[in-house]
Amino acid sequence: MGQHVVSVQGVSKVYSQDTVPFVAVKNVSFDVTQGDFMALVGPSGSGKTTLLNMIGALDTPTEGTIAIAGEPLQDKSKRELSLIRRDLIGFVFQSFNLIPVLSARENVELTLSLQKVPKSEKKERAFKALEEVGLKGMEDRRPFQLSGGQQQRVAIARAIAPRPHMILADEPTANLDSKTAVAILDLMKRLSEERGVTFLFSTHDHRIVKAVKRLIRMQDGEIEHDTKLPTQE
Amino acid sequence: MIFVLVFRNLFRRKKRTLVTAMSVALGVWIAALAIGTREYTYQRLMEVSSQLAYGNLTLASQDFFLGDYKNPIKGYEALVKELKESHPEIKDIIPRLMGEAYIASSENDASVGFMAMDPERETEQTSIIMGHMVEGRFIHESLDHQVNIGHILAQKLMVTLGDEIIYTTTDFKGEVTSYSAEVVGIFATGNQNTDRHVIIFPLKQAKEDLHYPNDHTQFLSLFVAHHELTNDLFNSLHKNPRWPSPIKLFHWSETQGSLASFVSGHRIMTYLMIFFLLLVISSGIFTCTIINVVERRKEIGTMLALGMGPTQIFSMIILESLVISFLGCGMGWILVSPFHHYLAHYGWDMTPYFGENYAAGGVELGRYVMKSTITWAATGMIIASLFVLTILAATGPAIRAVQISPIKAISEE
Repeated sequence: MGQHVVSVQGVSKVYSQDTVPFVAVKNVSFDVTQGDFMALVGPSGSGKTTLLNMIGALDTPTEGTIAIAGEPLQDKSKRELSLIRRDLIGFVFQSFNLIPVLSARENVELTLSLQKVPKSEKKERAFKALEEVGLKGMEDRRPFQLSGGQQQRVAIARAIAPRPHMILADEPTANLDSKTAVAILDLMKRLSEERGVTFLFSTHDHRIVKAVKRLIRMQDGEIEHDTKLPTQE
Repeated sequence: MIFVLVFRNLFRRKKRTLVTAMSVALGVWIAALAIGTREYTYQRLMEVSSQLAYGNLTLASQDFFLGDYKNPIKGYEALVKELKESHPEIKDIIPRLMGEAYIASSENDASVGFMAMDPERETEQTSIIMGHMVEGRFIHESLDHQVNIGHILAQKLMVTLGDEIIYTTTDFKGEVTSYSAEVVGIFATGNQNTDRHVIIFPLKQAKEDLHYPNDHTQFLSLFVAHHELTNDLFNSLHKNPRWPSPIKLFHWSETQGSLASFVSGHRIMTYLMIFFLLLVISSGIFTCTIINVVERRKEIGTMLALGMGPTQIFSMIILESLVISFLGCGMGWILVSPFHHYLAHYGWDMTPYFGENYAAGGVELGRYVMKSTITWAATGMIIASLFVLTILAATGPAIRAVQISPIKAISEE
C-alpha cells in the first residue's frame, strides 16, 4: 500500500445563506493513496466540487482537517496555501482555463516558472509534457488555435509538468465531444499507470466512472459509498 | 514569465492601452511645457531683477534696505579680491551707490533715483541699462559729469544727447549738494519704472561729488553665472563671512521681496495645477487597469489556483500600469521635444497678448518672448510624480485582483 497523498478527516463545510446555514459537506473522511485513479461522483449539490476545492487548498473546511502529502492545510496563510497548490497539486478544469495570451508551451511553463525552475530545464520539461499528451509540434500555438480536446491536453500537460503529488480534475470531459472525451480519459489513465500520477476526479461522466479504480459516491454532503473497483477496459 | 504576461496583456487591448498611454503623453506634454515656460519666465524675471541693481546677492549695511545709507562698506576692493579668490563661482562683484535726487533741465524737472556704477566693471549681464542704450553711449569714467537717463525721462525733461541737467541730492555728510551733468546716453530697457525714474552716473564722479571716501561703497552686487547657483553661493558665503559687522549678506529674495513672493506663489500654483493634471491622468490609468482586471477575472482566478501568489498577482497588475505610464511618458517626451526645442531656441513672442510691457512680480520685462527651460529636477519631478500616482492608481485594482476568489473565477464562462 502506497503512502497517503491526501488525508481527509472529519471534514465539514457549512455555508451561511441568508443566516440559514447550508451544510455542503458533512463529516467526510477518506485517504487518497499514491497512484490512485479515483472519482467523486454524485448528483449536483452532493458536495463533490466543494470537497474537491477544499482538497485543492482553494477553500477551507468549517470543521475537520485535510493534509496533502502530510502537510496539514488548516491555519495556513493565503501565501502558504498558494505554495501548496503550486508544489503539490495539479489542476485540470472543466473549461480548460488556459491563459489566452500564452502559447501552449508558455502555458505549461507558467506553472514551472512559479516553481522557479531554471529556464533551460523549464523549456525541456514543457516540451516533454506536451509530447506526452500528444501535442508535439503544436507547442507555439495559442489556445484559440487549438481544438477543445487539444486545449484540455495542454491543461493536462500544465498539470503534470510541475510533478505534483496529485491532480484534481473537475469535470474534465464535460466540455468535450464523446470521442475527444474518451481520448482525454485514456491519456489520464495512461499517465496514472505509466507515471504513477494520482488523479482525483469530480464527475458525472459515466465513462470516467467506468475507468476509475476507486469510486466515492456522495449524497447530501456525505459519503454514501467508497468502493474499490476492478479496472474495466 | 510575469513580464511576458504583462506585455501580452497590454497588447491584447491595443486601442485601450494606446489611448491611455496617449493621455499620459498629453499630460506629460502639458506638464513639461507648463513647467518649462514658467521656469523660464521666473528665471528671466530674476535675471532682470538682479540686473536692475542688487545682483543675485547683495552685501550692504544690515539697515541699508531700511533707508540707512550711513554705514558703507569700507575697503571694499580688498573684500572683492578676497571673495573672488575664495569663491570662483562668483562671476562679478560690482560696487554701486544709489540715492534720490531732484533733477531739472531747462524745460522741466523730476524726482528720480540715481545709481552710480563703475563702467569699467559693468557688463550687459550685470546691468540691464548697459545693453539697452538707444542713443549715445554708456557712461564712461574718463568724461566729467556725465549722465545716462531713460527715454521716458528724457521726453519729460525734453532733453537730448549733449544737453545739460542739474541734479540736487544729499552728500555723504548729509549736506545738500548740486551739480550739472551732460546727457551722454539715453536708454530704453522696456522697464517703465527704470526708463521713467532712474539716472546713472559714473561711480568715480559720484564719489567725488558726494564726498564719498574712495575705498567706500554703499553696497556690492554679487553675480553668479546662473541664477540656480545663488542658493549654494549664499549658503557657502554665510558659513564663513569675510566682512565685518554691520555688513550683511542679502539673498535676492530679501532684496526683491515682491518678486520672490510672486515666484513662490506662482510656482505653487503651477505645481498644484500639474498635480491635478497628473491626478486626472492617473484616474485614466485606474479606469484602464480596473477594466483589465475585471475582464481577466477568470484568468487571474486560474493563476491564483495554479499557485501564483497574491504578491505576484499584485506586482503583475502594478507592472502593467507602470508599463502604460512608461510608454506614455516616453511618447510624451517625444512630443515635448520639438516644442521645447523650438521654444528654447526661438521662443514665442507674447507681445500680441501682453502688450509691449509685460510685468510680473513688480518686474517689467518689456517685450516678452516666452521661452522654455526644462531642468533635470523638473523632469525628475514629473516622472517621479507620474510613477507614484500610477502606482497609487493601480493599487486599488491590484488589491481587487488579489481578492478574486479562484473558486468563483475558474467556473466563470
